[in-house]
Amino acid sequence: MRQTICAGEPNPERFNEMSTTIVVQSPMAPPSLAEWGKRWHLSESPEQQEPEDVGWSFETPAEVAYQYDLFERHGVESEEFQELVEGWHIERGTRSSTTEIVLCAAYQAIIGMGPRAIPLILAQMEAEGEHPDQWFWALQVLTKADPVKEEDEGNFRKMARAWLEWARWRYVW
Amino acid sequence: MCGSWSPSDHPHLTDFNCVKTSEQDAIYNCIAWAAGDATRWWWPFPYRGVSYWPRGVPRKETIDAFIAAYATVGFHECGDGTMESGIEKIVIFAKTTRGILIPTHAARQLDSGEWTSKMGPLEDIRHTTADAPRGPLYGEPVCYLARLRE
Repeated sequence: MRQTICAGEPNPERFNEMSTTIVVQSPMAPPSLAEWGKRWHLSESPEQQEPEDVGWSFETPAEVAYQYDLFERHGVESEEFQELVEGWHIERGTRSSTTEIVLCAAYQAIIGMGPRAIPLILAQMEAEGEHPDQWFWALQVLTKADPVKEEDEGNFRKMARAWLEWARWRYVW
Repeated sequence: MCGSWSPSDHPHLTDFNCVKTSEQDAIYNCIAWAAGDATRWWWPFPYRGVSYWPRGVPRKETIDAFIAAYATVGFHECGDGTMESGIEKIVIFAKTTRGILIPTHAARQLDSGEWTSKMGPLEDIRHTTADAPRGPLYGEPVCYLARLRE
């Protein structure tokens, strides 16, 4: 049996059935979802795809309940993240020093959120479009990855594209 | 006030000596802007993949490293920021932190004799004197560089 939940409408009562496979269709999925299953491409018409192609499958209510809890917390963390972003912008002021900028308390607090911050940073960076901010150090610290080509260093647009492309198959945001 | 920063950070920038010349844009900084590059963020961050620094120049927050970085685009040390025909000048700002002089900012002289600064991730400005952005955040001008104006 397969059930589908979408962002904003998870209902725990639907999760009581044993041996139910839940397919999550949500760009708001919390980061730990990526640790639970393989990231699949989210089509614009997921209903036309096979279940395995639209999200993650969970076999037990316990797993689903845990993920539902993360869904709930995700919204709170998003608010906390946005407050830290605003605080960071104020704190860094007109500084040009990357060192000073990433040592701002608010930026360090974002890193301190741990892996939960990764999808929030990715969403923020994607939303910033052609004017991406300096999320690269935080992403390096949190993911231990470094997808930026040497010739693109300092070009934030190219760096952001490299990170988003790298993250596309590893995280959901 | 001519920009969106805290006045206490740049107490000498006023509506009388400073004009905003761009909107905020966090993709380049003053060090890049002084070098004529509005596409990258220049800084000698010790780890790769975070900011641009010219290849072969030490990734150190020292005046010498900044002079070496600007030498890659043709600038060399000169005496002061006096306007000279056919010469383009840069001023490097620095402040002392825990006993060490650390570069903080750079501005470039325009052919009008005024100066242009990118204020970190915020706006570009034009200011009448080289030292106008000085203050608690940027410290003071410590070094001038020059190259032939293109």
